Amino acid sequence: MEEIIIAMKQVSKEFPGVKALQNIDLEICRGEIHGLVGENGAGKSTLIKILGGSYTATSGEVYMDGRKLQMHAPLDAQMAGISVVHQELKLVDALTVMENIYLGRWPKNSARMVDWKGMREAAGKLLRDLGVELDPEELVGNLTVAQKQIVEICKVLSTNARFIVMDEPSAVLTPSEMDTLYTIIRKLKADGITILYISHRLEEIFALCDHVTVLRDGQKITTVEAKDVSRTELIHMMVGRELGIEYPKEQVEQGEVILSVRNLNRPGVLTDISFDLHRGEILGFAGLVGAGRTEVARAIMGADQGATGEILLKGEPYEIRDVPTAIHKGIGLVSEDRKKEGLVLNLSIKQNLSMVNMKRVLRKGFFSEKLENELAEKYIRDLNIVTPSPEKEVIYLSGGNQQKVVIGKWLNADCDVLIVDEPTRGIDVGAKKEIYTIMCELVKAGKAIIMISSEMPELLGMCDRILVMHDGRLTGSFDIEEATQDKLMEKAIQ
Amino acid sequence: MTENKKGTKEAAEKKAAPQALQYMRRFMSNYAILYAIVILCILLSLTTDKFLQVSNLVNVLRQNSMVVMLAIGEFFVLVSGSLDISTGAIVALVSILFSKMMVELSLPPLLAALLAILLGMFIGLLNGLIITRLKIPAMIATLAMQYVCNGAVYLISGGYAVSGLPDSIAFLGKGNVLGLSWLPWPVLLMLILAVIAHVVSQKTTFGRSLYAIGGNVEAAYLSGIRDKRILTSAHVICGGLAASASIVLTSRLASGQVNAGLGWEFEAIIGAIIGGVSITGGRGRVFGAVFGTFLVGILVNGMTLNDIDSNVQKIVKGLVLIFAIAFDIYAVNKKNKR
Repeated sequence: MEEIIIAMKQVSKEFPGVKALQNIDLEICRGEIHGLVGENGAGKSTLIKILGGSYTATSGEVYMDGRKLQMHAPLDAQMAGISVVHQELKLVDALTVMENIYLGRWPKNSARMVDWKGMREAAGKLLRDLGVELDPEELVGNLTVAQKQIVEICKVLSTNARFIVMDEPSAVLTPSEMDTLYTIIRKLKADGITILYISHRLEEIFALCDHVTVLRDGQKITTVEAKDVSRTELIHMMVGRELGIEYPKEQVEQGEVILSVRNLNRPGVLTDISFDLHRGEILGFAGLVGAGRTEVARAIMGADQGATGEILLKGEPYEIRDVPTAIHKGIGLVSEDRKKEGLVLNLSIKQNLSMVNMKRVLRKGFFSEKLENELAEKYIRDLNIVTPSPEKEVIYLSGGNQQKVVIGKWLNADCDVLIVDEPTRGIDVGAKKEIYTIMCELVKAGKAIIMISSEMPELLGMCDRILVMHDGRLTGSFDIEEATQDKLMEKAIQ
Repeated sequence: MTENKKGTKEAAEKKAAPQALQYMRRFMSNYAILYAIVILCILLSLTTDKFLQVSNLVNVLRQNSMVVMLAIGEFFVLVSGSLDISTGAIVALVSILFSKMMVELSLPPLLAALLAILLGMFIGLLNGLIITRLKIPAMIATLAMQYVCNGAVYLISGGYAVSGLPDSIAFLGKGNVLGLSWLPWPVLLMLILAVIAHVVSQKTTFGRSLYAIGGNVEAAYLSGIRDKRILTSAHVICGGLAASASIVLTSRLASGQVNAGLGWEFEAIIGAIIGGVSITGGRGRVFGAVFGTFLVGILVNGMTLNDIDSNVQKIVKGLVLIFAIAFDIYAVNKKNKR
């Protein structure tokens, strides 16, 4: 029996209205590389944050070397010997490699000044031990992403970490840089350091890990030995999410092609995206976070510079120019983050509702209070927005009601093509269902919808066809009859 | 039948009364600054007899109506999330050029005024373009513009005032409308501008767009609002209003002065912020800025009547600005916490 270094016992984490983690039992053996996989929203980040001390578990305990840990801040975890290498690197570009490694913990000499010599030697030793050729006095701003990651790892090692959590370290690396990372990780393992390795790329899990734990919907599905499991089995364990709610999907006769996209490109972001969208259709876009789905939406909307492609809208050439042009031509975007991109929080419901199409409530060039109130009351009624008054500032509404306001403002623009990006994120089940119903009514009226979502059951429940994206490209296209969560996931992680 | 009619009429009256009350309540919650003005006036009337004299009050109005015009301009840029600290320098530059156009080029006053306003708008346009195209923070961009205008003033004037302005314009600064001693021309002009600005900000798509970009520029952009164009326009308006204030001031002084409008941008910004226009953008009303500026004006008047040293007054103004902004930021944070 191998020795257990980290044990999580019945760990749960609840946020208002959401159970992010439920009764997780997890044991990690000393000196192993332990893989952690799961879909978007499976609870990986929450688990990492609990181990790293950023979150405190609602219930349950974490043990290290058999001793119970009391962690209330990242520093507590660091003191215990746990460190997290985050996906977004937290380095100061304007400082040198060694200054970053010892950031905030710079060694002092007898005169209470920074001991530059000692720091240079210590940093040099850390780098040499990892077998890396890197000048401790180089500015971090001049390094490649891969080199920065190495600095981050050194920083963690300099705190004498015995257990390192690596959150998708490969997400930003090229294949050749991956090899270096592999070598370093194996070296760490040989030095007796335990690693929890999170990645969406299953081939890495198989190449590196001894054990792999699968999370799904905040629960642990299983921990298995990596050599005992196949790729397909792993994917199946990751998805297989319960459908939970019934979707108000109705069969709608599909009409002509309303939007035809050919070779949509944006250098470094999108590559050769081509698809057709029909009237009456809900077209799903599946993929992992960062696969480029939102970027497709923003490109069509004219919100980002540099996108090119041939697009036909209602049979006529559509040139990507800017957002007002897209809206004028009948395209709308319910964006991903309603607070940042969807609403002006300190304006009222009524002012937000009329924002995309203000002309509609003007009389002789001036806002008509009557028309604007009528408009607001119509959408408050139709979309069942719960509010005492249309004058209420949207900052005071719940997430679901805020989302309905965003949808309402686009309904008011009367778009023919509506792109909805994560339309039900962070809202309760009742509001979700209402939003699905609105989408059905839109396609019944001959509109077309592009639905971007990280929740596969929602795509499977609502769409007529689902496209899958990975790394800025389309990697799969499924009619709804043949689509399964396994197949979508397979294409999404490539 | 008659009883029934009477009943509905009574009901209507009952309904009308609370509605008027509601209207009042809404008005006062929008312009809470009025309470502060009333309190300040009471305090000042207790400390000195001179304060409540009609001539003093009319004088306060007349003196401050030009700064109020600047404050209305600041309202436009502040509400859209920007700032303009070059307005005081615009006043000086316009004052010199407006005077020179009439004195040295013998242009008719109306044409000179028109060109002067266009000049102010042009400087505002430059401010707007520098901020939106070169992406320089508004504070720095307009600080630089303040220097540019200042330098231009001394270069053009050689540091001397321009005198010999036609008498025909004197009424703008000194005269009273229809000879009514309680209604000076500057006050009427200021009121007209304020009403127009109020309608533009509350009733036009442009005005709504100002609030939208000031509140959340990303959401506004994705809603099809041309944020850069709107912000630039706000600066153009701000420059135009500064030029208008300068024309009134120049008429009042009967000469172009190199230090005209010195420090006015500061008083206008304090006034707007005290009047509830948020430094973080997206909140505030034109009449808030108007009342806020008068509050500062009354405060200054009261201090002067009480023989308080002008340097002390400066310190008080600076502290008032800090206090007003601290309160504004506190209120915004409190709201956003939800």
